[in-house]
Amino acid sequence: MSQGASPEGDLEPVASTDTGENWAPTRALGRAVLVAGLLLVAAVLLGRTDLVILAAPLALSVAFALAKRPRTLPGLRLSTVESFPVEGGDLGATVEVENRDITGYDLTVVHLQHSPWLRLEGGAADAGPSRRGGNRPYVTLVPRGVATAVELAGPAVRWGRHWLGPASAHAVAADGLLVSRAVVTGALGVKVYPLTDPFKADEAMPRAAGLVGQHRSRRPGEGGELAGVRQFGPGDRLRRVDWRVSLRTERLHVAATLSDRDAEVVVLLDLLADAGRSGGIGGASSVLDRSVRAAAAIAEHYLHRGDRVSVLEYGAQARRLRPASGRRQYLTVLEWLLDAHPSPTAQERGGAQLAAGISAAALVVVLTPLLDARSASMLAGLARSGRFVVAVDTLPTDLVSPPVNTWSDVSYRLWKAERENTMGQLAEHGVPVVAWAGAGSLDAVLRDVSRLAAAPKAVLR
Amino acid sequence: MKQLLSQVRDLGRITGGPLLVRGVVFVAAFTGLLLAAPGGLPARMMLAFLALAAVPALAPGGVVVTLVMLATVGMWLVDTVLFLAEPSTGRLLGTAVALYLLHNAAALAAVLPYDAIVDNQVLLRWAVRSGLVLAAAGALTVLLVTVLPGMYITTPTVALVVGLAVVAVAVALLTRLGRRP
Repeated sequence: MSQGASPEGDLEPVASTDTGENWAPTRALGRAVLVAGLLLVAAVLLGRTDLVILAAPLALSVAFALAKRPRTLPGLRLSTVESFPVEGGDLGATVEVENRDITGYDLTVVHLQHSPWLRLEGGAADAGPSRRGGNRPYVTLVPRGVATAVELAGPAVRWGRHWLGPASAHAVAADGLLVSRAVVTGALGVKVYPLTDPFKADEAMPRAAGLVGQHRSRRPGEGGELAGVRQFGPGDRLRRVDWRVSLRTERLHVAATLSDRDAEVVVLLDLLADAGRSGGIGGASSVLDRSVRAAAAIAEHYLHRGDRVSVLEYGAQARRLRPASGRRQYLTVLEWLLDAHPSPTAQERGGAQLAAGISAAALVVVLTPLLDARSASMLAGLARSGRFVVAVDTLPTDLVSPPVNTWSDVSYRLWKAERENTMGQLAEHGVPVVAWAGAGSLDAVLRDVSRLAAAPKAVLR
Repeated sequence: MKQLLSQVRDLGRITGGPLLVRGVVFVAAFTGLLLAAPGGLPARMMLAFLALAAVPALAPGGVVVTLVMLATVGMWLVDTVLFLAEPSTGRLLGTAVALYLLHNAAALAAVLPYDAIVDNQVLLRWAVRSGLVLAAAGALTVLLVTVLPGMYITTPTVALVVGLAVVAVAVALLTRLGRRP
């Protein structure tokens, strides 16, 4: 807690000058008047000075305390440092209480409500753990004409849109005999971006599409990747002439290269169902946590390589982010992911319907826990429509079934066996399913998909 | 049962500042009862006083603080009026200080949430203001003891009526101070 001069600017809400409404007497005032009055009456009736002496401190304290009464409510302002933290990053908030009254407050009790995912703690920075604690009221002194700031700081432990506030404060004056009405501020929204799991994929994209990029395509053209040596033809550039082969064969030969192209990656989030309990960063992950973090990592990786990335939602809201490239798109993806919530729906589009909105050359990475039968149907439908689909299993590995009765374990094992069976069937349909494991998760399956893309295939239309 | 468990769990959240103030409430209540009580009470009464003094510390915002203060005054009257005891000035001053501290610390404890992180300046300011009040009351006590001949004053009826009127005016003034805008 720190004190400083009153800053300029509004402190909400504006205090009223109607003391009758703003300040109320506490029970202590009635108690002091009652006991002092009874003592004085008894002193007069019994003719005793000792009772006057007993009553004197009480009567004096009331007169002393109420000689100067507060009139206005304290001003209150809640602010936060405008930063964009990722999970585990620090966040700061300040609650400022101002006293514009003619008398100082004995104390002000400040409450700040906030999302449980924001572990904000207040108090002096050098204070011990007993003096620092989350979600506690803070009691601070606010002298006359001074604004006192209660500073709170701590990590945001989970991604998402969190709420900070409302903050409330009430002041106590006249030695605890008067208490003010509570002053309440509005709430602030805080965006916490998901922490991207380390992700890297070295394998080639199945089909690069654009004109520029970092992927070697399977088509000849201007590029850096050597495709072979062939005879010189009209239109070939002289700097492509391979002089060593030309001297040996006594005919002009040029080095043929593969063109460098970019690709489109579609990240499809299956939000039909969620499972597991989120423990924030460093704790257990739910399906949604793994899906969002994996989506952020995949998007970051491919956007960093110059590809175009779009994000789709498979759920009730069916949100869609159009494909684009660059750092701006990465920030847009992160913003888009903040609004990802489980959204079960009775009717969901099939894979063929989804495929209509996805480019034929795009790599579709589906992040799914495969908890809903419709997810598997959607994957199969996408593959049948000729899209290059990779399914990433986002079901947490440490998920355990709560024992309800003696059959729980058996049913859980049956369900797992059925799920593995579904994954096997998907693989037969040409949809590899791989568990999310960060860096290199997709390399093995991308190799298979690339090989499939090179081969002729029959497509249902 | 669930509520009880929740209350026991909440005890772990109590912080030093509120605990200190409630400790002052307990000590003041116990000291006041002890000083006001007639002499020669059985030891069992001490336990009763301890239990009684703990109640305002646990519920400083309740009516029990008033009841403990009235019990202290009542025992003082019983000792001095019925048993005709002659209390020393020290005992009188001690009881007055204990009564005031019980009231004042309970007023502070009532507005301090038990799990609040309290700025030390708050407690320091409170202690200074209490000290000022006690100093003024002490000066008044010395004045009364010096000027008046003894603890008992025989007064004529007219003086009684005038005294009651003065008390009524004083109480009305204190009440008005609490209500005026």
